[in-house]
This record gives sequence, structure tokens and C-alpha cells, in this order.
Amino acid sequence: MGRSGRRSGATRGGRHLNGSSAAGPVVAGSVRRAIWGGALHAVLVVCGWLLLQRAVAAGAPRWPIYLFLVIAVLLAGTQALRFAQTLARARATRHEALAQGKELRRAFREFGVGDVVRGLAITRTLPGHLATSFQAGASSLASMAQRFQDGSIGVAGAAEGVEHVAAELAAGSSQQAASAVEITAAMEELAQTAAQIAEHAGRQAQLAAGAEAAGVAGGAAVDDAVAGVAAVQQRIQAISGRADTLGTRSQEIFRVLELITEIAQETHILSLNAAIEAAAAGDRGRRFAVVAEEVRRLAQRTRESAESVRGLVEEFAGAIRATVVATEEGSKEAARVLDAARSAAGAISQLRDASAGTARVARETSLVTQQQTAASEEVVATLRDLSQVVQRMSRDLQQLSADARRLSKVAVAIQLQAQTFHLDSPRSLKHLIGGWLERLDASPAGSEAAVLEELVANAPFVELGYYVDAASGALTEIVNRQLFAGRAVASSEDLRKVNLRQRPWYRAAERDRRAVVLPPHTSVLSGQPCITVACPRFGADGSLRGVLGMDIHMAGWRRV
Amino acid sequence: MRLDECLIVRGGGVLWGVPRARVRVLARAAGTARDVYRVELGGRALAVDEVLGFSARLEVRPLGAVLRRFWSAPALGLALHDGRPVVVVDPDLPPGALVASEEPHG
Amino acid sequence: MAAPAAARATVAHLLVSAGGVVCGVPLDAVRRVVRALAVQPLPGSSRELLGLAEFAGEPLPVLDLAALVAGGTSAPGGPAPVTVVVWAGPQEERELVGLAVEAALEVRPLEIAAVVPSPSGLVRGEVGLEEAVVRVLDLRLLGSAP
Repeated sequence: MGRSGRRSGATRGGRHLNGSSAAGPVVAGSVRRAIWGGALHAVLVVCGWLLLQRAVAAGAPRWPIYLFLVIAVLLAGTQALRFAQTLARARATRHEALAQGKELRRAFREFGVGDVVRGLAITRTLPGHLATSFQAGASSLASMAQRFQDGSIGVAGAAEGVEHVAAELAAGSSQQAASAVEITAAMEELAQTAAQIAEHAGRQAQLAAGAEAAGVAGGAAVDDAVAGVAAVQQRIQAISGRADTLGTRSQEIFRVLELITEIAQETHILSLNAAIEAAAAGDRGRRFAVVAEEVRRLAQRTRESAESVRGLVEEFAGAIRATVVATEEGSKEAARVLDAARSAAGAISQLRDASAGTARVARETSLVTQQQTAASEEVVATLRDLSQVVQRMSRDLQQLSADARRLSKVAVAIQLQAQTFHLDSPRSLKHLIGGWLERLDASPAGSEAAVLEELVANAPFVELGYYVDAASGALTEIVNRQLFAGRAVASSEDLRKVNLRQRPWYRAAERDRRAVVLPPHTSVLSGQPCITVACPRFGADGSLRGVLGMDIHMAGWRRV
Repeated sequence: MRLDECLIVRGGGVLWGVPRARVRVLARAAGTARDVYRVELGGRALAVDEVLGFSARLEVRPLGAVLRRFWSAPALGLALHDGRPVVVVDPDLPPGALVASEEPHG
Repeated sequence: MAAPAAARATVAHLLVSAGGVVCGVPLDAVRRVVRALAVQPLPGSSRELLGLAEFAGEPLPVLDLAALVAGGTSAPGGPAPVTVVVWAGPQEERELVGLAVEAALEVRPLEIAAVVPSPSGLVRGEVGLEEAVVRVLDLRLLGSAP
């Protein structure tokens, strides 16, 4: 749809209407029938005349010829009158057709520029059948255009949604790709660590096996030591037993010595008593005194010998006691050493068992770490593949995001294209601004600000509504405070310094003399995409009084 | 001096001989942790640890000067009973080691 | 010359040890030397009197010779190892007494002239021998009051 479409429609209309009316074929047919009727009538008259002449020549009365002539003249006259009426009717129909054709051209011209409303208004002046046909066609066109507008808005919204989603997906996929790369690097490091751990575990297993073997050897050595200490203890106990026996024997010797000493003492006492009795006996006891003295000396020697023997036996007993003490201490020491050796054997046995357990655990750990290393490497390979997939996906999503942006732009372009139609619909911006213009025209002069205030307040998608007077160039602008509530609004002071009558939207409206929709641009107020719709305001004399404009917030417009 | 039927008792680790004729009461004291015998000599009462019995005949030797020098307790003399020395008590002057803590009844 | 013969006159003494002191007991006063007499203490007696024992069927007072001559004791904490049964006291009233000693050493003749008088209780004097100084006892003084 566009200028070419509008031209083709007018051309088609032109071919149909150029030099003939809509009733042209009917009129032409009547003229042809009249001409052929006249021709046929003439032929009949001539043939009848000829036949009558022959008849007359053949002696037939003349009156049939005269009657035929009269009838023929009457028929000819009637036919001529009919022909004249037909020609007159055809001329009238041609005039009417030309007028209707002119109206249809106007209507098609309006259709051609997309103003379905105005086109339909023009077609209402056509005859009923034409109006019906054209209105049916225009309605179909309007319906199609409406669907096109609605669809364009939906497409634009969907495209925007796709663009957002694609952008988010692209951003997310970029993050995922980065994360995948990080995870892959971390897993590679982990795999490396796992390999080192496996290597360490292998060395630990070897060390544990060595410790186990050492524990076994140590346990055997300790067992031998324990056996040796036990044997030593037994020998010491045997020595102690023999020492005890010697001690017992020495005790018996002591008892014998005690007895000998006792006997010596008794003998000594006896000798003393003998000496006493000898002294009491006087001279007779002198020899007895000598004997007593000898006995005393014998007792003394006996005592001394016993003492000497006692000394030796005591020395021997002391040695025996020392030996016994030593053997007891040795036995205790041996017992202590044996206990210690047994404890050590027990500890070494536990250590050996622990070493065996440690070695087994170390082997299992080594095996597990090797398995983990292999698993880590598989994971790393999988992550590398995954990272590549994610990166490809990220690139694809980046491409998708770019395509979505292009799609969004295309949707906007489609939406703009759809808005070239002026439809009787709240989705038609031209219709909307046309309504505003009607309100403006219906308001007193000088009330443009109030009217714009009210209109902008009721249009949440309108960022800015403005009117530029054609004569003075004065600007009346109203900003939608609801749209910018709580936000800083860019200053529009600069607008007042510019000759707004030279702005594209003003010049387009002035040039096309109808509502125009300009391509999207970035709003100076919101910084968001917006489109400008402008509509010229004419006076009663058809002169341009001013241009009404509105900046539409595209995101808000799509929610209408 | 010869004593017939002398009561031989032990008190304070010493064997004592009491002329039987002067013994009035011979009883075991009740309510004590160990056996204590009570010998009443008429005016005096003796508390002894053991009553060995009566000696049929006791040859009493007088106390010598050496013994007197080193032991001044009153006694009639010394004797032997079953090979153990016995101090024969003067019933009128019993040694302080034998005198009971209470006066006899009656 | 009569004086030198009289100066070398000796009297047999039984040498005993008591309280670390060697005493000489005139042999004619010694009745018997016995061992380990069972002595029965007498309550209230002085420390010199160990108690009564039985000797030859007679009660025998036993004295501690160490306490008598040296102020010590012949058998600290136990019975005297040796008892010398002697006649003590004046000649007309002499009685058998046991002297508890540590040991009866020997019979030794002692020169009377060599006895240095140092009367102290039971000791008559002292005489020096090669191995010790002997305190010569006079048992006739035993029954007298100190």
C-alpha cells in the first residue's frame, strides 16, 4: 500500500471512468440497439418497398404500398424519436458518470493516502449501488488496515518483547559462557589437584606398605625380644631360687653358728663358773682352775671362730642377699622390661594392625583418587564441550538479539506504516489527532493550552502535546505530568528558541495538508523512543492556521 | 617362815601370796572389761588380775637389805611358787598396787 | 723383802662389762654366772632393781650393775644377757643378789696395790689394764643406803 497503490487504484478507476459513465455499457447498448433497430427498420422498409414495387409491377394494387409506406414512415418516425431519446439519456448518463467518476477519484485519492475515513465519507455521496460497493470495499480495506494496525502494534510489542528476551538471553548466555569458562578452568585446576592428590596417595600407599612391612618386622623383633626377656627373667628367677636356697643354707649356717656361739657362751659361762668353783675350792681347785681357764679359752676361741665364721657367713649371706636383691631387682627389672616389651609388642601389634589398615586405606585412597582423577578429566572434557556449546549458544543468542533488534525496528516500521492509515479507531493516531483537532476547532480562540491540557491528561501514552500557530509561530505545549511523575523532565526551553515552522513535522503537515506520522526518534523529554504525529489546522477559507502535534511514547502506545 | 595354803594371785605383773587365813571374800568384779578379782582381807580389799590358786606350802624368805634398799613396799617376804618368785603380802599392809579403788562392803 | 711381795698380791676378780664400763667383781663374792634369767619386775621399785628371779630354788633380786656404777643400763629394752649371782651386803648379812651385766669377760687377778681408790657407791677403786680401766667393786656396800 502506498503511493503506487493509490495511483494504480486511480488508474484503474480512470480506465473505467475515462469518457464513459458507470452506466456507459447500458447506454451504449441502448444506442446500439436503437441504431440496429433503425437499420433493420430501414432494411425492412426498403425490402418492403422493393417487394411492393414488384407487386405493383406485377399488377398488385398500390394501396398496400402506400399503406406500407405510411406505416414505415410512422415506424421510422417512432424509431427516430426513440433514438433521439436514447441519445439524450446517454448524454445525461455520461454527465452523471463523469461527476461520479470525479468523486470516485477523490475517494480513491484519499484511500491512496490511507485516509479511509475521508474516503468513506466521499463515497457516501455516490449512488447507492456505487456507494454500497465502494463502501463495502472501503470497509474491507478499513478492516484490513485496522487488522494491519492492530497486528503491527502486536508485532511491535512482540518484537520488543522478543528483543528484550533475546537481549536478556544474550546477556545471560554471555554470563553463562563466562561462567562455563571459569568453571572449566576451575575443574581443570581441580583435576590437576586431584591428579596431584592421586600421586601423593600413591606415594602414601607405598610408604604405608613400607610401614606395614616395618611393623611386621618390628613386631617379630619385639616378639623375639619379649621371648629373650622372658628367658632372662626365667634365668633370673632360677638364680633367685638358687640364691634363696643359698640364703636358706646360710640361715641354717647362722643357726648352727648361733648354736655354736650359744654353746661357746655357755661354755664360757661354764668356764667362769668352773673358775669360780675352783677359786672357792682353794688349792685343791687350782688344777681345776687351769682346766677352767683352758675351757674358757676354748670357748673364747670357739666364739671367735664362730664369730669369724659368722663374719664369713654374714659376708657370704650379704653377698647372697645382695645377689638375691640384685636378682630380685633384676627379676623386677626383667618383669618390668618384660611388661614393657609386652606392652611394646602390643603397641607394635596395634601399630602393625594400624599400619596394615593405613596401608589398605592408602591403597583404596590411591585407587579412589585415581578414579577421581579420571572422572575429573572426563568432567573437564565435558565442561570444555559444554563451554564451547555455551559459547556457540551465546554467539547464536547475540545474533538472535541482533535479529530481534532488527525485527523490532521492522515492527516499528510496520507499525508506522500501519499508522499511515487514517481509520476510525482508537488505534489510529491520525484519527486521534483528528479528534484533538476537532476539539481545538470547537474551543474558543486562545484556549489551546486548556484543551491540550485536558487532551494530554486523558492520553497516558502522549508525552507532549503542542500547537504552533502558523501566523506567529507561537508554541503552546503541554507535558504529560502523569507520565513523568517524580522524574526529572528535560527542559523544552530550547524548543522555543527554534523556528518550529521549519521542523519536519510542521512542514510535512503543511505539505500534505493532512495528518502525518513521522518516523521514530528519541524523545528529548524521556530519552525513550517516541513518534510524532502532526495534523494541520485550516481555516474556513482553507488557509493554514497552525499545526497540532503530539509526541507518542511508543511503549505506552503499545499498551493501548 | 612357812605358810600353809597361801592364795597365789597375780596383780601388776607380780605374783603375790596372800595368807589364806586372812582372805574373807574372793569374788570376780562385775561390769569390767576384763576379769578383775576382788580379795577382801577383812579391813582391806585387793584388786588382782588373776587368781592362780592356793599354794599348799610356801617357804617364805624375809626380804633382804639389798632388796629393801631398792624396794620399800611392805611385804612379809619372798617365796617361790612353781619356780616363780612370789611376794608374800602383809595382810595388814597390802601393797598399793593391789589395793582396790573401793572399800569393801560390810 | 716382805713389802714387794705384799705389793704384788693379787686377788682374782671376775671382769664384767656393764654400761660400757668394765667392772671387777671379787671372785670370792661370785656365786655363779648365769645367762638370761627371767626377771619379774616389782612395782614401785627403783630403776636399779630389775625385779625378782628364781635361782637355785630361791627368789633372787636382780640389780642392774650399769645403773649401779655408771648410771646407764645393761639391757636397754630387754632382759640382761648375763647375770652374775653374788653375795652382797655385809659379811654377817650377806645375801644372794643378781647383778645384770652385759657380759662376763674373764677371771683376772688384779693387783691390790694397783687399785686406785675412788670410792663411789659400789666402786672401791680403779685399776688400769692393757685393754681397759677396771672399776673394782665392793659388794659389801651394796646393802647399805647410798
